[in-house]
Amino acid sequence: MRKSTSHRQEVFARPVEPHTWLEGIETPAESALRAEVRDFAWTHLESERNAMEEALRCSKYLPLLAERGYLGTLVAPEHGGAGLGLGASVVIAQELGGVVPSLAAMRAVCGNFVAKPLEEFGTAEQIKEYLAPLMRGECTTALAISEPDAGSDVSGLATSAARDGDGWILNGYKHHISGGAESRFMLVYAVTAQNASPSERFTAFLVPTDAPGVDASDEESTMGVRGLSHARVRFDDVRIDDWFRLGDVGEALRIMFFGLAAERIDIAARALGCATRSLEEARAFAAHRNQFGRPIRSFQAVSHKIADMRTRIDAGRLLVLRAARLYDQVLASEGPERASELCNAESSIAKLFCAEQGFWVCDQAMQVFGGRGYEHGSVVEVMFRDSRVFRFGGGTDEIQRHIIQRDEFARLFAARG
Amino acid sequence: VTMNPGSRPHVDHSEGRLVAVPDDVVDWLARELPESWFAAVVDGRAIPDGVRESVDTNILLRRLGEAGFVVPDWPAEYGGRNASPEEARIILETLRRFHVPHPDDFVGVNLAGPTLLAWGTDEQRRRFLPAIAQRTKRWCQLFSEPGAGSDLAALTTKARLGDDQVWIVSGQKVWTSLAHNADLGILLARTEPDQPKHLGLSYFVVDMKAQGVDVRPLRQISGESHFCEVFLDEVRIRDDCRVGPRGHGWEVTLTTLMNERVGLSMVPEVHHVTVDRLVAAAMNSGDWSRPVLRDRVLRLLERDRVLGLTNMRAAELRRAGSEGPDGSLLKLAQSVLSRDIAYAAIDVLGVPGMAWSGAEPGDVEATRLAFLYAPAHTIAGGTSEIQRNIIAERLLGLPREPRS
Repeated sequence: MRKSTSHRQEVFARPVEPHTWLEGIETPAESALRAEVRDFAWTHLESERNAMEEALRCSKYLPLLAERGYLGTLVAPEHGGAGLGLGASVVIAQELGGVVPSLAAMRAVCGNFVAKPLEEFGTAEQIKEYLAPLMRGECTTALAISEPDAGSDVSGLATSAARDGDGWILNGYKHHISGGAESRFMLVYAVTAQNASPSERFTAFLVPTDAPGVDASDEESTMGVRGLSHARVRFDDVRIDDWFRLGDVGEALRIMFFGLAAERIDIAARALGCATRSLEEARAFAAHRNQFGRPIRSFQAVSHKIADMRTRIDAGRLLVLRAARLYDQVLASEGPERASELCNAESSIAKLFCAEQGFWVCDQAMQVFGGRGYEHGSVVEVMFRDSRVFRFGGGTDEIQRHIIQRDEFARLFAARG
Repeated sequence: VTMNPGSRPHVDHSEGRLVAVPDDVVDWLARELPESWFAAVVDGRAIPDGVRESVDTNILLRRLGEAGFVVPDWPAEYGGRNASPEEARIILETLRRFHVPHPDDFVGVNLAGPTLLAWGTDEQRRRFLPAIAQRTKRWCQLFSEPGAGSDLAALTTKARLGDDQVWIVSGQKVWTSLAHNADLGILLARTEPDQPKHLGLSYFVVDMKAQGVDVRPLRQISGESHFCEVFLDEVRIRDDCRVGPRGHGWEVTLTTLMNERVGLSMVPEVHHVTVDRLVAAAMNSGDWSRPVLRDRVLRLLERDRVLGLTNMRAAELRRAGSEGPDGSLLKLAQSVLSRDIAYAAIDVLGVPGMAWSGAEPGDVEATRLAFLYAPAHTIAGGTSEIQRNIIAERLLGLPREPRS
C-alpha cells in the first residue's frame, strides 16, 4: 500500500489568489509593490521557511532583499537605502511576514531598528563603516537593550560604560537579543551617568561583536521566530574607543524613542503578515477539506471564523495604514524625531490591535486545520508560534494600553486647558 | 486534604462537607509513600525537596495498580475495587492531593476499559481489563484517518473476514496519540462496504506489535512526538478480538467517544499547569498587584471551580443512568478553560516563556509546553465545533446546520 502523508510543508494558499482588500485605499504604487514583494517572497523564500528554522539562521537571504531595495526601506538612497518611507516598508513587512516571519524580523532589526538611528545619529565614518555594508546585506546587527531587570522599564538598565581615557569600558549582561549571535556589531544601550535622570543616564554604542570581552555565543532556544539567533550577551571589561559612541553622551534615550513609533508600526505589519497568511491557508483548506460529504467551509462554525478573521485583519490593515501615513507625512515635513512623537498613540494602537488580533487569527486558523495544522512544520503551526512574540516584543500589550490611555487623557486635559 | 481531631485525612465533598478518606486508602498511602511525603501533605506543607525524586515512579504505579486504585470503580475481578462512583472519586481525589503520579494510559483506563466493560464478552474483559488495571499493557485509539477527522464515520480502513475467522485489515490512521508506545489499540474499520457509512463499521482490539502495523511518530508544534500515523497493511485480527456485533461498531464507538469526552473533561491539568499553580505563579511574580491580571486569573479560578462542580453533577447523573451528550458540554468547557489557563500562564511568565534554554526551572518548561499544547485542547477528542453541534442538536434540540 502507498504510505504517504507527511503533511509537513503542505501549503494550501496560492500567491495569486486575492489577498489584499484595500483596493482604492492603498495607492497604486503600494499595491504594485505588494504584488512585487509577494511574488518575490513566494518564488524565492516560501520553500526555504522550514530550512531557515532548522538552521536557526536566515541572514544569507539579506542580500536578496537588499538587491531589490527591500532592506533599508527607510534609509536614504545616498546611504544605500531605498528611501521609500514607512508606507512602503509596512507593505514589505506584511508580505515577507506572511512567508518567512524570521527573515522579516531580521530585516526589521538590520534595515530599520538599527539602521535608522545609525543614519540619523551616526558620524560619516560610522555610516561608512557599518551602515553601508548593512544596506547591502553583507553583515547583520542587533539591538541590545533588554536585560533581566529591564524589559518594559528601560530605566532599570544596568549594563554600564565607564570612561577609560579616550575610550569606554563596558560591563553587563543583555538577553533576548535577536540576531545577536550572528551580528557583526550591536547597538548597545548602557549607563554612563548612574545618578542622572533617565533622560540623561544612558549612552548608545556601536559595539563590534569580535571585540575582546564580548560573548554572544549563548543562544536561547525560542518558541517562535527560530530563523535567527536570540542571544544572551555578556560584556566583560569590553574596551572600545570613543569612536564607537553613537550620538552624544547621555543621548541614548532620545535615540531609542526616536525609532519607537516606526518600530511598533513595523511589528504591527509583521503581525498582520502572519495573520493574513493564516487566513489564506485556512480559507483554502476550508474550501479543500471535505467532511460529512461537503467542504467544511459550508459549516457556519468554520465559515464564520473566516469572516471574523478577515474582519479583524481588515481593521488591522487600516490601523497600520493610518499610522504609517501619518508617520510619513510628519517625517516629510518635520523629520523623524517629530514623526515618532506625533505617531506615538497611533503606532501603539496599531501594534496593540494587530498583535492581539493577529495571534487570535493564527489560533483560529489552527482550529480550522485541526490536527493537520498542529503538526510541526505546517504553515499555520509556524505562524501560530511566530505570531505570539508580537504581543510583547517592542513593548508589551500592557505598555501599549498605557501609552494609549495616557494620550487619551492628555488630549482631554489639553482641550480643557 | 484536611486533618480532623482523629488524625484521619479528609477531602472536601462537593457541598463543602468533609468526607473521611477510607482507611485502606490512608493505610496504603502511609505504607507506600515516604514518611516525609505523607506527613507533608497531611500537614499542608510542601513535600521536601528531593523526596519525590527518590521514589521509583514505576514501582509506585505498579503498587497503585495492584491495590486497584487505577480503576477503583471497576469490578474487583478485573482489577478494580468495586467502588461506587462517589467512593472512586474520593479515592482518586485523595491520590491526586497526595501527588501520587497518574497512570499514563488515558486510552486504556478511560476509553478501552469502559468500552469493554459495556460491550466486551466475559472472555474479552478477563483478557484485557486486568492488564489495564495493572498497567502492564498500554493502549492507543485507532480512529481518525486523513479523510475522517470530525466526520469519523467516513473512515475507509477496511476489514474483510477470511474463511479462518481472521479479519484482514488495511488502511491508514493518523493523530494516534502515543501509538509508538502502545501494546494494544482500539480500532474502527469498515467491514460492510455496501452499508450506509454508520452501519458498516466494526470495532476491534488490535495487537500493535502484529505484522503489518507500521507506526510512524509525527512531530508536533512543541517539537515532541506524542502522536503518530499508523499504517495497517494486511494486519490479521482474530474474530474474537471484535468488540460488539459485526457492523455495529459505530454504537460501540459512541460509548468510547462519550467516555473520551468525560475523561478529557476530568483531566485536572496539562503539563502540571493548573489554575491553582497559575494563581501561585501570579502571586510569586509580583503581578498579583496588577488588577487586570488578577481579575483574569480569578475568572479562570471561578470557571475551574464551576466546572469541577458541574463534573460532579454529571457524575451523579451518569450514576443515575443518564448517558447523554452532557460529556460534550463538559469537554467543551474543559478544553476552552485549559487553553485559556495555558494562555494566561504564558502571559504571567512573560518573555521567559518565549525564550528558554532548557535549563530554567521546571515550571517555565511546563508552561511553555502547556502553551504549545493549548490549541490541541479544542481539537483533540472532537473539536469544539463538533461539541457545539452535539450540544445544539442533541441536548437542546436545535435545527441541524443549514447548507450554504
